[in-house]
Amino acid sequence: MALMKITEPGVSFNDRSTKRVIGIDLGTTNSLVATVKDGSPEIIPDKEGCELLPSVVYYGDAKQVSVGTDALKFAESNPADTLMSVKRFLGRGIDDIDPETSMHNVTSTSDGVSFVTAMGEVNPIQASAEILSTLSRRANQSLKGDIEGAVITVPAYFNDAQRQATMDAAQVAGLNVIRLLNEPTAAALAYGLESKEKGLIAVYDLGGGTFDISILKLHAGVFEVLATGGDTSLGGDDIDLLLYNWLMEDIGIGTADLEFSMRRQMLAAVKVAKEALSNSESVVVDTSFVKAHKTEVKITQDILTSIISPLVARTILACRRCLKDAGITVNDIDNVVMVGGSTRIVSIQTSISEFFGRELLSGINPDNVVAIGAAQQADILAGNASMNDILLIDVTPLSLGIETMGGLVEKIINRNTAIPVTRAQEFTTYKDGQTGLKLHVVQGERELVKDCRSLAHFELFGIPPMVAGSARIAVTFQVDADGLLSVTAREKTTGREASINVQPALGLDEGEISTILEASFSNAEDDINARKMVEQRVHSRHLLDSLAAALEKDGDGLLNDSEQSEVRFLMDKLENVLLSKEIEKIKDATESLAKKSEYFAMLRMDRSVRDALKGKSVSELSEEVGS
Amino acid sequence: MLQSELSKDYFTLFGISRSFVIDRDALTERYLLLQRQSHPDMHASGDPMEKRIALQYSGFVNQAYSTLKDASRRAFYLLELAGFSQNEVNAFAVDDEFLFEQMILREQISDLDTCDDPLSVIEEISASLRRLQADTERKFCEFYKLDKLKHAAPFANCLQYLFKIKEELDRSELQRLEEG
Repeated sequence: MALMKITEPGVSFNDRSTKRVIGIDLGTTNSLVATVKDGSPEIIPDKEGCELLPSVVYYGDAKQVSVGTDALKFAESNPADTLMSVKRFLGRGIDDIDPETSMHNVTSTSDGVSFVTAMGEVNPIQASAEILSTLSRRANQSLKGDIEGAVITVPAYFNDAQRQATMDAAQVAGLNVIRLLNEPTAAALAYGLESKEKGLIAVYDLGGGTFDISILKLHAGVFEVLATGGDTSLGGDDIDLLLYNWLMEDIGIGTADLEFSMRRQMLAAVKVAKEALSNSESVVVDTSFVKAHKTEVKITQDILTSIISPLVARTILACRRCLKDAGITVNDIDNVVMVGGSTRIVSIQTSISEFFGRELLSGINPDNVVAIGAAQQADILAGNASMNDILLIDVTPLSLGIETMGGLVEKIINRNTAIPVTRAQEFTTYKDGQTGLKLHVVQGERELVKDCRSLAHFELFGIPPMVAGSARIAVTFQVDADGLLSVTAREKTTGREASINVQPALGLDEGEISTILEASFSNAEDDINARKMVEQRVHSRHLLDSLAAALEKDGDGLLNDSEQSEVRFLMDKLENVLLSKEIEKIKDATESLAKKSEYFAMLRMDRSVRDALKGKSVSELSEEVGS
Repeated sequence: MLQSELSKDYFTLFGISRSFVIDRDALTERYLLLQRQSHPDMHASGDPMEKRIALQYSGFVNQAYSTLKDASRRAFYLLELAGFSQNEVNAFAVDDEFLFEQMILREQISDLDTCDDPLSVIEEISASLRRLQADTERKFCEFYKLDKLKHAAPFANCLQYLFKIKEELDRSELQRLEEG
C-alpha cells in the first residue's frame, strides 16, 4: 500500500495521529452527527442525551434563532417562523413547490426560494447552515476541539443545484467539507464494514423527504455503485400528507378551511399516529380540536397500507428501473439494506421484502445508519482509519446535457456514469465572424430542455472571428467525486483559452456566500486576512513537505539532475518567502512550485499505476466471444 | 496534457492486449486496481496539485473502463485506434438482412401495448436480441482479427443499433409497469 500514497505517513502537515472529523446526516426531518472513536463509530448526542436533532429552525421576532427541539416548540404557535423540512427546498425554485400543501410562507427570489419569517427573508441555505452549525458545535464540545473536516450526506438522487446548495450551507456554517457522500452509499458502507458482506447490495432509503434506491457491488474492498435512482420529493412527509388528506376527507374538512397552525397541529397528530402504527395494529386520532362531525378517527394497519400503496408502488418502480440500469435482475441481489425512518412502516417492509424475495437487513437503527457510514468515510478520508483499503466509487445520478437547436437536449454524460468523469465535446460557430457562444447546461433524463432542470448558462467569449463552422471549441464537462459539475472551454484552432462565465441558475454565488459569512460571523477584516494567511501557510507547508518526501523517495528514479535542482530551487525560494508576511508573494511562489512539480507528480502516479498492474500477466483470452 | 499513461490507449492502460474479445473479470479486476491508485479519495490528504492529478487520472480510468466493458463502444474504439472516426464508421452500410431484423424487433416493441401477452413477447424480443448480439460480435471479431476493418465496421454499427433497441425495450417495459 505504501506506493499508493504520494504523501508519506509521518510527513503529514498535521502531526496529531487522528484528526477530528465527523459525519453529518443532514436529513429532511432529523439530522445527526457521528464520529469514529477508537475505531468504532458512534452517534454524538446533545447534552440531554438526544441523538436526533429535529431539522427545524425557528426565526422568532426576538431576533433569536433556535434549532431542533427548541424550535419545534413553536411549530404550532408560530408556523410561519418555524421552518421545517427545509431540505426539500434546497437548490429548488418556486415552481418545484406546491403552495397548496406547503406549511410555509414561501417567496420566490433570484436564488430560488426564501421563507418569510419574523426575522425577514431566510433562504433554505441559511436555515440548513443553522442546523449544520448546531451539529458542529455539538461535535466540537464532545470531541473537545475544532472540527477539522466533515463528510455530509446528500440523497443520491440530488441534482447539481441541490448538491451545490448543500455545499454552500456547509460553507456558511464554517465547515470544511471533505466529501459530499450519497446517503445510500453511506448506509452500504456502514453495513459492509460491519458484516463484511460480499456481493450485490440494494439500499432502499426512504427518509423524511426523499427516496433513493442504489445498487452497489462490493468486491475486493471496493464499493462500486452500479446504479442509483429515486425521487427527491417522496418520503415520510408525503406519507403524512396522504394520511392527513385522508383524515380531513374522513372528517369532512378542506385544508383551505384550516389556519396554518391548525394544519400543523393536524399534521403533527397524523405523524404521531403513523409512528404508532409501526408497533400496533391500529391507533385513534383525536380530532376534537377542529369543528368536525367526528371527534376521533381510527386508523388501522390496513387503512395505512391502502393509503400509501401508490407511493410504495412508485418506489418499487424506481427499484426496477435501477436494477435495469445496473444490468442485473432482482434475483442477483444478495442483501437489501433498509434506511430511513419511513422504512419502519410495516407494510413497506412487507412489500420490499416481497419484491426482492428475501429478508431485509436492519441490524443498524435506520435513523442512524447514514450518519454512521458518513463518519466512517470521514475517518477513512482523513487517514485515521485502520481500514484504509476501503474505496467507494460512486456514480452521477442524472444525465448531464446541453441545449441544442429546437430546445432539445444533447446528453454529454449519461446517468449512472462512474465519477469522477471528464467528457469533452466539440462545438462550432454557426455564423461568420461569431465571437461568442452560449451554452445552456441541463440535468435530467427527458428529451426536451423544458422538462429538465436548468443548471447553468455559460457564455463563452473571445473566439477569434472565423468563417461559420471552422471554430473548434472544446467544452469539457467534469464531475468530481462529490458529484459537482464544472465546465471549461477552449478554442482549439488557435489554441486560445476562452473565458467562461458561470451563472448558476439556482444557488448562491461566491459574493453572496461571503456576504452571509460576514453577516453571520461579523468578522473584522483583520480577522479574515489573518485567517487567509494561516490557510495559505498551511497550504504552502503542505506542498513543501509532501514534495520533500516525494523527492527523497522517487527523485532519483524519475527525474534527471537538472529537473531535480529546478524543483529544489523553487522549494528554497518558497521557504524564504514563507519567512515574510507577504501573502501575495507566498501565493505566487507556491503556484510556481506547484506548476513545476506537476510533471513529477504525474510521473509518480504513472509509476504507481504501472506497479499496481505488475505481476498481472496479459490476461488469457477467453474462448467465449463478447460479454 | 503531459506525456503519461493518460496519453496511452485504454488497452495499454489496463495492461491487456488490444482485441475485441476481452476477459470481463480481468478487466474489472484491473479497473479496481487502477482506481485504488488514482481515485481522489486515495489522495484525500494530498496537496491540491496531487488531488487535481488524481481527479484527471481517475476520470480517465473511468472513461477507459466504460468504453472497454461495452461491446459496441469497444468496437468503435478499436476502429478509432485504427484511424476511423465515428462518422466514418457510421458511413459503412449495414446489410439488409440485419436492417430487416432490427426493424421487426422495433415494430414488436412499439406493438407491445396492443398485444395480448406482452410479457412473453418481451421475452421473445430479449432472446432475439441476445442471439443477434452474439452473432454480430462474432462477425465483427472475425473481420477485425483478419484486419479487414472495412468489413468489420458495419458490424460495429449493428452493435450500436442493438444497444439502442435494448434501451428502447427497457424503456417500454418500464413504461408498461408505470401505467400498471
